[in-house]
Amino acid sequence: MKTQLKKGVLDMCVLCILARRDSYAYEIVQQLADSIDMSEGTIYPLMRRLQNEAWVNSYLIESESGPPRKYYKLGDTGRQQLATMRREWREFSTEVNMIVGEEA
Amino acid sequence: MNQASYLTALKQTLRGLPADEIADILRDCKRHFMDGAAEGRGEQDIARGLGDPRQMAMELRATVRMAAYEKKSSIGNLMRLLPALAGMLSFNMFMAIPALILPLLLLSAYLLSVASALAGVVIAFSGVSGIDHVAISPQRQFIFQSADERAKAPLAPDWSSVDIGNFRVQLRLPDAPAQAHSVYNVLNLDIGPLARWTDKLRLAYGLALLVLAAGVWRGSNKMGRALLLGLANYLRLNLSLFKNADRR
Repeated sequence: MKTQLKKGVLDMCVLCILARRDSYAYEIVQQLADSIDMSEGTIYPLMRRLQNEAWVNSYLIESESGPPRKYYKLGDTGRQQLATMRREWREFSTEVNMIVGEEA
Repeated sequence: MNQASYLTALKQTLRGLPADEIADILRDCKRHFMDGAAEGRGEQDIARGLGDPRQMAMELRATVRMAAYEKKSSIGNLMRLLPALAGMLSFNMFMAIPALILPLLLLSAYLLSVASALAGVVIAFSGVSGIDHVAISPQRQFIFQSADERAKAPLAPDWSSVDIGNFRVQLRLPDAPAQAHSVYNVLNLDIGPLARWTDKLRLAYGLALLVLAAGVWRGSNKMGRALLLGLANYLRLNLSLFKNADRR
């Protein structure tokens, strides 16, 4: 579970961004890049995985310049998953802080 | 690397996936370049940010094949999924070998199922028809026999014999001598000690093997699903979420 958290934090961050409002890949990456150091390329397989799990749905919006943009929307199962992930993250970070805090 | 070469490399590594998936991926990638350009970024900079196109393509392949397998756990989808996962593992070599053992074990289970099915068909057929040895030999070995000799004595007395093309197929009926008379056989199907069994017993055993084959096949499908979901989960967790674009 904990290992899952460590690596799965990025999934949670993306779901969180989508919880506020629908967004597209490039915009999501820009928001994440502000806080987390990550390769932009990982966003595309990540979004696919989120869609495979049915946590996220997508729709296309036509653009005047170039190909249509794929927007992502958080689904109901996605919201539940986000809530679960956030709770586990809080529990995890609390536990870790208890240990780290004691050493100080 | 510019947009054109990036997309070309991506498209090449995606080859083999369904056309609509490839089109979908390329469209999103082109869009990414356009959104980057709108911010004033150069093509090289955007390409660098995306990382190795081959790596992205391999990860995308794995997600596409995984989704297909989750939707329908057929052996075809499984066989398409395994190389996709292996390809992604090549970027994480340390996990490659143990991760490949499980699918290979699964493959042996499928082969066992096929072998049981074949044996089941042969033995059940033997139980129904009474034939317990089939020898297929090329006609050429009979070439030195005169026409008279060939007409007089069939090569395997008390065996049923039929000529198909350049081959003679000899079928042993019950109570015929044990050995087919040929210099060599291209194919020799002999149920061996099972010949001593009664017809009914052979039929029952053959059918039981077919049931076993079906069971192992379905069990392998379920096992394959479970194993690969677990494996895919592991891979998802260990993919380069926080690493740099430069790897290898």
